[in-house]
Amino acid sequence: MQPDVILDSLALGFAQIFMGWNFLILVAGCTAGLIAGAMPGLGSVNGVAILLPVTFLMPPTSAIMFLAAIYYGAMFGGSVSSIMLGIPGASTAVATVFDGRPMAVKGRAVQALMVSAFSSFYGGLIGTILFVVIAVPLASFALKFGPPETFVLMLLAFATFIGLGGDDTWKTIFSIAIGLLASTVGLDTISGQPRLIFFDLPGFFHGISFLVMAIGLYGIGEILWTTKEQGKESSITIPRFTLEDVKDGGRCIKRSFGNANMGAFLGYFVGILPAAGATPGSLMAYGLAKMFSKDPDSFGKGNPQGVAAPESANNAASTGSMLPMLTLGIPGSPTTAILLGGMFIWGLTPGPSLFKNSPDFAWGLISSLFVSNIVSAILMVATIPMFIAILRLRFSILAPIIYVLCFTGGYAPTHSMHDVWLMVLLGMGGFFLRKLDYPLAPAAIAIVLGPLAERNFRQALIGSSGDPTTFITGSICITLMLVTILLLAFPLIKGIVRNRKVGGET
Amino acid sequence: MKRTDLKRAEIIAGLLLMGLSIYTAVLSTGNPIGWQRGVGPGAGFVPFWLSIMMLVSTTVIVVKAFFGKIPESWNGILYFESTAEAKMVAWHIFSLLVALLIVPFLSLYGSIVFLILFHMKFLGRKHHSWMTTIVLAILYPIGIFLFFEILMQLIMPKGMLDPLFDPIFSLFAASPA
Repeated sequence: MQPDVILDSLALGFAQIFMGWNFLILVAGCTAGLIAGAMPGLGSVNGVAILLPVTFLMPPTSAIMFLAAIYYGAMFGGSVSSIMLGIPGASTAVATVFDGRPMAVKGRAVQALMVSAFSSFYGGLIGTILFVVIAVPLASFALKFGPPETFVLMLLAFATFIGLGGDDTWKTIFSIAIGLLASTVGLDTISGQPRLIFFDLPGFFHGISFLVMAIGLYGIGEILWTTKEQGKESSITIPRFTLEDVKDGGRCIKRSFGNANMGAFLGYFVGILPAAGATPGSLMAYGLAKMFSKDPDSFGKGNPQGVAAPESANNAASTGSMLPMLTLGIPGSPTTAILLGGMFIWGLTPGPSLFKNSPDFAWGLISSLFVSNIVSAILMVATIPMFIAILRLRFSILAPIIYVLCFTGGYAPTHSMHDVWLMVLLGMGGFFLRKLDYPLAPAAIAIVLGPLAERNFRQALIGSSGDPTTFITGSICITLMLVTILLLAFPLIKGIVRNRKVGGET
Repeated sequence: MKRTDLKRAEIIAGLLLMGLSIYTAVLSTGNPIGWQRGVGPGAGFVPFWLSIMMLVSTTVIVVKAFFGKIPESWNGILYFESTAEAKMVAWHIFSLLVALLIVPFLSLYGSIVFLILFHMKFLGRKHHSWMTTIVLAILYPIGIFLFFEILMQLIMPKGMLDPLFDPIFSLFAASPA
């Protein structure tokens, strides 16, 4: 598409935003999304699904602007509960807990929220620009990702955790394996057979939701850990909100800009893969940020780069995941699946002709992504003092408040008390293993990516009649597999180099 | 709660996880773990081999700990540094379990009231007045109810108290949209 045509179309889109009530609708959407995202157990999917009926009263352009604003607001808000409470509000915000929460515990919540707000804004901005400029060629490249390529991509994501160093390799392998195993509990999606129904409890038939494990490990487990580390009656952190903190936040943003940049491009690309969405993008961005860091050991202990990469990636990916929805009618995430349903209800047909037949709708959506990004960032920064006030509460008030949010977050997805019990038990298990340096992040990542990885693994093998060489066939697979092998060999190589250095010094 | 050193804790935890791995491996064999004609890998294939992966990794962890290969930073460190620390964790776990046991009888809102009273007046009694505690014990469940059940329309567990909520719901249902 020619640049002047793009600019004219964008102007048409921006004009749509400022027509009638559209701008106010967009601000309302961002606010609703921010609240839904910040609330554990709720996310963009819940926000969009619950408010979809409201849009039936609006013209399609206003409706998609409202829903896209909720989607964006939720992406910003998801990091709030991850950082402030250690509870990932949605799977897209799981990786933000790893370093965002330790930053808050160390009294650097302002810095973490500022890095998160900026990175989310930057990721969204890059995602939207890429959406406009290179949408069509990238969509066709993403279609080359069949089951073998997607599986090898997942393998690469796990390999980054083994190859990163810092944690005990065998404990990392165990953590990944138990996370993947948890994702296989319940009805097998291919054969329909029940699997791993522990003690014949019916609650296991619907599987173990990633939220149950993530809230258990990072919500319940985190509070138990804080109880142990900080004693009987103390504040969960030393919360501050001074000008110096804001300046330090600016420095953190500057230092982590490279990671935000990497996260934006990686997240956008992963986001446009059909049925991948923002979660794998944010997790991979975290893995890569740690891998290429000069100080990988500081990750998981409050490194702002560990906040910047996933937050930038999940916003870029949320934009990217709209691409297959609009151009091919394939939703890239659960939220875009609901948006797609909305489009059908509004009488619109997704596909390449959408930009020709309904330019006001398509460009109105794209322009609203730009504006929603700015509005959400402003809303998030404006509410930082409110979030900091939460951390100033005494631990004996904060602990029951967080426990209740964990209960509601664990209960909401399946409406099952079985899941709440399981969440508490997993939280206790995670707490006891944490002292023994078992890394929890790989387990949380594995349970999220597990279903996608297993489905693609089995589909690839079925497609190749059981021939495992399908995973090393084709240029994409070979490239990804080579990187995976290099990552897996990384601890070994690092050990050899360290031994040689020690040998040389002595 | 017994205080124990990290090496012993590592071995005990490793053995328990080895047991879990064996249990899941056996449970996986309830489904086909091999290749099935026309279907591909059986439903038990992935869980079985993941269990084996867990078993191998925990075995290595236990063997390493048994032969004293533990991080240097663990030397002289106890699992719980003091009895007070262990007791406080035990109280938190106790409050969680009681709160869950309450739900079928007094609803989620009853367990919220219990958690607030227990943590503010039993664990943090020096710092909170009865007035603050009671205000929070009333307002927080109301806030949770209004946000989740009325605004987001997500039904929370109410156990035996379910019928008592019907008039409240009909109140909101009757209000003009």
